Parts: sequence; C-alpha cells; structure tokens
Amino acid sequence: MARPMRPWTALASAAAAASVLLAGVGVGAAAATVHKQSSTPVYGGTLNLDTQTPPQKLDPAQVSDVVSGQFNYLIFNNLVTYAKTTAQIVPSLATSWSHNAAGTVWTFNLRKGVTFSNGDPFTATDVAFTLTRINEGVTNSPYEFSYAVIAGSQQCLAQTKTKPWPATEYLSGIKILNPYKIQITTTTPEQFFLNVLALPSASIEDASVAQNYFAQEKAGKQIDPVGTGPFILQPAAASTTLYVFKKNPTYWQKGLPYLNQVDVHIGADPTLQYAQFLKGQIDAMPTFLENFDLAPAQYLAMLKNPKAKADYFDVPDIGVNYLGFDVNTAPWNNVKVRQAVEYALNKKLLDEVLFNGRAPVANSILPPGMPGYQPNLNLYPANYATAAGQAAAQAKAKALLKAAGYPNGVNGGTFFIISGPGDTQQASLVKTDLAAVGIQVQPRIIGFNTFLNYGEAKPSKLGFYSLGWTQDYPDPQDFLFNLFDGLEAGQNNFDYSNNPQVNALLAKADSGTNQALRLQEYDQVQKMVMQMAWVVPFAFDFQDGLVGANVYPKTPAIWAHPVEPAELQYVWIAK
Amino acid sequence: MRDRLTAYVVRRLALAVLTVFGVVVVTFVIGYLLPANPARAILGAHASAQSVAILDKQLGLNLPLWDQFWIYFKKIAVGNFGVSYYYGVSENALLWPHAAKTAALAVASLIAELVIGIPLGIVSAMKRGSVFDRLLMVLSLIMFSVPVFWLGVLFLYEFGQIHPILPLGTFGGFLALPYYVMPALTIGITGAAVYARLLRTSVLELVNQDFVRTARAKGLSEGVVLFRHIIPNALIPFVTQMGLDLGTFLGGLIIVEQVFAWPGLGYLTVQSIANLDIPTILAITTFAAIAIVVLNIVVDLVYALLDPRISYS
Repeated sequence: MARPMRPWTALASAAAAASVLLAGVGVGAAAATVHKQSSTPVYGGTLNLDTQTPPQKLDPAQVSDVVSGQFNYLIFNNLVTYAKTTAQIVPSLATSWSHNAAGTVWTFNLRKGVTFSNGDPFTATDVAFTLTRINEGVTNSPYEFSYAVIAGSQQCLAQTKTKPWPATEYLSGIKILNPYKIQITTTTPEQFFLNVLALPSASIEDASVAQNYFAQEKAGKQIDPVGTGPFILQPAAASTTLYVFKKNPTYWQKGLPYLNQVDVHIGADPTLQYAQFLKGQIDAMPTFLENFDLAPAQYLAMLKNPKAKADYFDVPDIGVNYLGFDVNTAPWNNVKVRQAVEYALNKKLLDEVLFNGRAPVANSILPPGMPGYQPNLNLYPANYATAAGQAAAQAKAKALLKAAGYPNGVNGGTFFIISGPGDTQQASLVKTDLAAVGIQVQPRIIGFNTFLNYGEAKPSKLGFYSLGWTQDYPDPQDFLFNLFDGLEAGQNNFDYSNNPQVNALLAKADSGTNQALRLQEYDQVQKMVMQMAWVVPFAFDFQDGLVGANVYPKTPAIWAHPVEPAELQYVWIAK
Repeated sequence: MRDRLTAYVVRRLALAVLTVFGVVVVTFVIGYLLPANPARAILGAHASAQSVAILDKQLGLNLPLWDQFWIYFKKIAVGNFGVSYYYGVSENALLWPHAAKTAALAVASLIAELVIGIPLGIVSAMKRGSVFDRLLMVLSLIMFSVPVFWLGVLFLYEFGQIHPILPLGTFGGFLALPYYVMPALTIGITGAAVYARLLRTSVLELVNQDFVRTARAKGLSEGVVLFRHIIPNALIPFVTQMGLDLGTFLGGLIIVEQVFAWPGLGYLTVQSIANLDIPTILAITTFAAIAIVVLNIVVDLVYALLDPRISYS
C-alpha cells in the first residue's frame, strides 16, 4: 500500500526534545522486574497496549488502516494465513485446497467443528457470503479490486451500488459443494490468489450477523464484529478510549491464546507511549501496531536507557521508500535527468538523518524478504562514503544532465513531500544534493490526502515527489504492477509510466502459473524500471518496537511479522 | 426592565444564530474547496477508481456545492450532524462523548486557574508596590508565556516518571481525579496569570472608591474591607473571563488533549483533520461556535445581574 514515508505524528516531531527528556537519559521510571528467560508459555494475564489512532472500521471488508487490520486479526480468521514467523501460506479455516491445471478453479476443504464467538457454526455459507460481500458496491471495500478476479465480481459491483444482494445470493464464481467444501472460479489464473485470501478484508464473517452490517452502517451505528479468531472484542462505542479483547474460550486452535485479555488504550502519541512503556503502564510499545518506528531523537534517547535498550528490537520490513517522477513532464520525461538524480542522491546520509542508519539503503524496488529481491542490483553505484567517491558520483550526474541538454543545470519544479516528522530534513537533504549537481527543486510539504488528490489529477500535479510502498502480500506483483503498470496510472502509479513492454511482461507474470518463470519476468521488469529510473529508491523499510521484560516470546517476527499484524495469540506474560 | 431584558436576549439570540450560520457556511465551503477527495481519504490509496466513484456518489460528493450544503443544512437544523466519513458512525455518537470529556477537563482547568490565580492576585494587590508584588507579576508573565505543550511534557516527566504519583496520560473516567491533575494544572498555570493580573487591576481600581473609604471610615479592618467589600466587586470582571475561557475550552483543548491523550474534542479535531473527516470537522466547529456564542450571552446576562449599573439598552 502507498503511504507517506514512515508516518510518525507531527507532535512526535515537535516533541523530539521532549522524548530525550522523557527517556530520562539513564534515569528511568520504576523499572519492571527483569524475569528469567521464559520458554514455557504461561496462561493468563492482560496485555496492555496503546495506539494513537483508533481503528477506523471494525467491519473487516472495510479495513484499510493498520490499527483496524490488527484488531481484525485478533477477532477473525481467514481461509488461509501465514506461518508463525514467515511468509509461507498455511491452512487456517481451510484445511487443504487444490486447483485445476489452468489455475482458475480452486477447491477448498473447510475446517469442521469451528464456531464463531456467538456459537454459530462456521460453514461454507459464511465463506461464500464474505467473498461476495467484499465485491458489493455498497460495502465500499477499499480492497474490492483484489477480489475482482473472482468470476461474477464485476456484475456484482454493478448491481449493488445502492443496495446489497440478498444474503443467499453469491458471485457466479462461488459454488458451495457441501457445508465444508467450496469452489471458487477466477477469470484468470492468479498465482498469488491465496495471498489475496489472506488479506484482512477476506476475514470470514458470520453470515447471519454480517448481513445486517449494511443497515447498521447506513444508520451510522457501530457494528459488533463476530469472528472465529482467538479473541472476542467486547462491545465498544466508537468514541471509546479502551478496546478490550477477551480470550475466545471456543477458539479452534487448541491451547491458544495464552493471554486472558488484551487491552488497547487509544490516544497516546509515540512520546507518551514511550513514557508509558518505561513506567510499565503498557507492556509493549507497539510501533508495530501503527506501523511507525521510534523517531530518531527517541531512538537515540532509548539507546542511553539500559532497560529500554534491552527491550528493543529492530527487523527489516517489506517496504521501500523512493523518489518518484511524472515521466511525461519535462524535465523528468528525460531518462538521463532521472538517472542524474540516482547519482546525485546521498542515500547513506538520508538514511542516517531520517532513520539513524537503521534502514537498509535501497538500490532496487523489491525489498529483502520479497520474492524476486535482487541484492546485487545496483545500476547506479555511488560511493558517498569518501570525498573522492562523492565527487565521482556528482560528476556522473552532471555529465548525464549535460547529455540531456542541461549543461547549466535545470529547474525541476516542486518537490512534494508528505507531511510528518522527517519531512523538513528530507526536503533539505534532497534539495541540497540535487542543487550540488545543478538540479533546482522547491520542496513543498503537503498532507497525504492532498498528495493523492494531486496524483490523481489529469494531468498529474506531482512532478517530483517522495513516497513509500509497503507490501500487502509477499508477491512481486504487489509492488511492480501497482507502481508501474499503465493500468494503474493515477492510481498507485503516480509516475504515469506506461511502457508497452513493461505492461506486457507484467500481464504475463501476473497470470502465470510457473513461479520460477514469473520471478524471471518480474526481474526483467525491475531491471527495466531501474534502467529507466522511473523511481529512485533510497531506503528499505524496517520495523522496530519495545517488548516488556516479562512479555514473551521475544521473537521479533511475532510482533513484526513479515506480512501479518502482531500475532498476539502466541504471546504470554511471565509471572 | 423585563421588556428590555427580553428584547436584549432576542437580539443576542438572533445575532448568535447568524454567527453560527456564518461559521457553518465558511467551514463547509473550506471543506469543499480542500484539494483532497474525502472518498479517496476514506478508502485509502489502494482502492480502485471505480470504488471511489461509487462512494463519491453515495456520499453526495459529486453534487454541486449548494446542493451538498442544502442537504447538510437540513440535517443540522434538526440536530443531526450526519455520519462520520472516517468511522462510519453517527456524529452524535462521536461528538457528545468527546464533548463531555472536554467539558470535564474544561471545568477542572477553570477551577485550577481560579485556585491558583485568585490567591496570587489577592496577595499581589495586598502587597501592591512591594518587591513581592513585582515578583508575582513577573511570575505571572512567565506563567502566561510558557508554552502549554512544553509544560505538559514537563509534568509528564516529573509526575509520570521521576516521581510517578500520577498516571501517564489518557482518561480514567469522569470521577478518576488523578487523571485530571496534570492536564488541568497545565492549563491552570498558564491561564491563572490572566486571573491574577485581572484581580490585581480590579482591586487597584476599587481601592480608592467612595464605598471603600466609607468602609474604612466605619473602622473596619483592612482585611474585612478587602474580603467583604473590595474583592466581591473585583470579581465581577472574572465572569467575563470565565465565560470566554469556558467557551474556548469547549471548542477543544487541542494541544493539551494531544499531550495527555485526553479523548476530548481537541483530540477528535486533530484526528478528523488528518483523516479529512469533513462531517466531524463541521460538527465540532458548529458545536464550538454554539458553545462560545451561548456562553457569551450567558456571561453578559450574568454580568448585568451582578452589576446594576449595566443596562440592557
């Protein structure tokens, strides 16, 4: 999904100095007792967390923000999910599946004996209802397009713009074979179809409850989500400041969850969250919950606090930060000008200032952990570690500008950056780097919604901009199609790039069934994109957080899973 | 007298309605003109253009400005602030719980301002001209100048971490008094300076009035003269200031609520602006405008009741 670069809040920026103060530089609050390493799960206890923003929607079909995604994950299950610490697809409510040779007809065997938290039995009817509902126009699912591959999806969307279908009417591509077997037909083969079924929006709803969601939402009422997941959300008003999740006693995964309860308090910004964590008021600083990282000043202060440092973790995340261009507008329509930016940018310094050097420097689009990642792909090697290296890189940039017809430099127009902490530093660094080779840009900081508005305008108002992309599922299609396919122009492709060769390769790879061949095709696309310098990646994502001394497991992937939200069903609190 | 009062109230109410209407129109137009699409903001960057177009139509965002405003105006005229774009729940369900929490903090903050400001003002007036008086006035200037956010974070550090006698942020319940202390003190200290100076100025204006000279001439002690005659009259201007403060507070204590994670209107305002939740922005703005306007009317009426020299004509 597109996002501003690691969205810390504005107040976290303003409170950077306060963070240093609150970190107490070696002076901590009453430190939690450090417990011995605990490898045996302990049952019971309440995990206390805090988020700044409340969940946007509790209706899984409408989930698009990370907090709602996390809540969703506690309450619901999908047909398939990811393994505990990796991006491998494993069974969940579906125990097994198969597909025909063409890859267009999928048959799922469903888990028997599972009940929703209200006691209703889980059957194929619920799956059919859920997948149909996502495709209904009135549902307003942000990810409806992901399920457009299911046969009958477009017809459903067209017929349900003002009213849903009856609860027992399903997409033509969905067939209930028996209460525990369902068949789904897609219009084209899609190798990542299982990943799509693992998205939060495909969380399986209780049909008898969810059929009332449309009427409730139209009346402006909060829905009560009912799922088969490890926790049950207690009824809460939309204005609540505390969401309470109680253990689901009938959860089908025996022995889980370990916790009795998860309390998520709403409202504390990162500065306050950090202070609350040091005081022991919350059990983990859930940067992973809201998909942000410790701000640079907070990180430095944390390093000086022995207790906090012991509780800190930091893992790569599957996302990339990059500079983008409208490739149809001068001077950015000239590939040599874009390539000059590659040489001009001091990516190492950008990483140091914006991320304390925690983010891996990026020279390609697909990040580590994404199938198709090429660690050796670096078409524009520039060594800014030495003065000689810097001079050489800048000389290359100037030579490219000269070859592009700009021997005396060029005005690149406005450089759009999405507002948030780090925005002014990024603006300053990029402006300075580019000015050093003769490219003048005027930074302008705007809100994310304004950015989207500018990007969707025709012609685009974004000539040169900074953005990030985080994976929705571990398939190169998620990155390369969304960011570079001509069909996505103005949608997520804010470059408005539209190269027939690239489009053809993407179409072939997207519907291919041979994974090895698909990866080769995506590799070709990535190389072409980098050769044409449609974007200039500069840093890959990382995810960090703080986990209390008596909270286990310490495995970072439980808290910052490569794909899923934090897996709190595996968490326990040592006594 | 009663006729004059009635006429005055009717005039003020008519003006209040016009003022609130003006605020609603201006805010609505600004929301309409923002370079961002609420439907896109709701669905996120990933949603298809088709989905955005469907939601645009559902929300009436494809209608002309005047049509959109007329639909909205018909709703708020009967107290229906609509449905939040972002949360999908009715504005009433969002607004009133947050407003109640802001109101609770507003009252606590006002009490803190008075508890700190009045004694300071009294002592300063009693010791007028002395070094103590001058020091107090400098102190009040510092109190007035200190950034609210900075003071709030200092409190969090001191009472939440170094001497953790108070909870760190959030709202523990309307009767959970420990949660009020830090945010109320933060506002109270910065606002008390105004009351201290106001009281001092009022006292100094009254101290040479005839009724005070009469009281002294009757042989009353200085303390009795001060507390029984001067200060009750000196507090009359407080009514205006308290009304202004309350009205402003009810509009949302944005910075303090953010620092302490107090889930009031200020917190909701920041969230709704960031999420381009225009119905919520409109609801809060309308509520704040009504609160300020109504409180101003109440203040004027109370002021006239307290001071018989004030005439409604």
